[in-house]
Amino acid sequence: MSLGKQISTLLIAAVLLGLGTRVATKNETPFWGFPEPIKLISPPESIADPNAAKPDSMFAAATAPYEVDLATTMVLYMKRNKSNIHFVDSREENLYNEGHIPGALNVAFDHIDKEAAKFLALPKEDLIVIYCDGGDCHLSHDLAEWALANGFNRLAVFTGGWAEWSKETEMIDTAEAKSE
Amino acid sequence: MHRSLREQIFTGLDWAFRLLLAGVFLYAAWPKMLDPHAFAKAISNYKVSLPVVGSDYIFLTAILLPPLEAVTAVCLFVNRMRRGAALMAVFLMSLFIVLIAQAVLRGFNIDCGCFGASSSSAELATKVGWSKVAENFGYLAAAIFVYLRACPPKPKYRL
Repeated sequence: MSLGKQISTLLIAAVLLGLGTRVATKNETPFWGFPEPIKLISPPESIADPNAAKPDSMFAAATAPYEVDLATTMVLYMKRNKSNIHFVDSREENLYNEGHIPGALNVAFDHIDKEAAKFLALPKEDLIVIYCDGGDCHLSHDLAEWALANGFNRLAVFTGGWAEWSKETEMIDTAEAKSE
Repeated sequence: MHRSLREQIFTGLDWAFRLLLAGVFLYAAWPKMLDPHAFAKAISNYKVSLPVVGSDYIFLTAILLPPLEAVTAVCLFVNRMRRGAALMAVFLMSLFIVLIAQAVLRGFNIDCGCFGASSSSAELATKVGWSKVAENFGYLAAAIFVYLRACPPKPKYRL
């Protein structure tokens, strides 16, 4: 068989196998287009108000995560204990150990199969702020999408992430600091 | 005698490389075939936009690329359509090298998506990086070897 015929046969077999798998697994992924990233919604404007006693109450249950900036994240951080706010770092464990927002729980989305139990132990009625590296990092969005699918509906994504937090604040915790 | 020994070594290497490539492709294809949507997300993280179609090619790629890997793996394993399968392996490995290298050069900190979505195969989830590029260069060299061995020998004498 000529090389051209071999390549054509391989391509036809691949198309048939792809379609067969699609039918067998009842997969409904469309043929054309691309996966839309999860859409974040705007946070309440008055969150930075220092008189707001419980800022987390402004983040009502929603069908999409809130997008929060550094200023809002800092307000939430300051009031995290009184207002039942949890911080979740979605990066790899080694990056988390190098530095993270103090008190943040590490749930590495890359290993969500193993880490799921940690996230699922969080109270679903509390506000959960998720972050990763910031910039091109998508782990916080992916974890928020996963959390939504698992019944969490009070979520916020700090899009500036660790890059912005570590640059603009001195509130940094490391694995070494914890062990001392 | 020397020629025979060399041929035996090359035949052994040919077998070993074909089994290696078949194993890697089949292992990579399986989780991606079961969850094309997750694989599409992994592809979209590379942020490669093509002329005319933009990013719209992603779902189609996520649906067809894993079966192509699987078919290539089976052909390499059963030693049928060897030349075509080896050339396809060369093409796929070259494609992966280019995609991963551009992601590294653009400073992306993403999963390579090589063995499916991170959630379905956490153990194999690896970040893009030069080590991944080097690994794929190794597979590419093996695929080129298999392809060259599958090519019919050129006639030594002309009339």
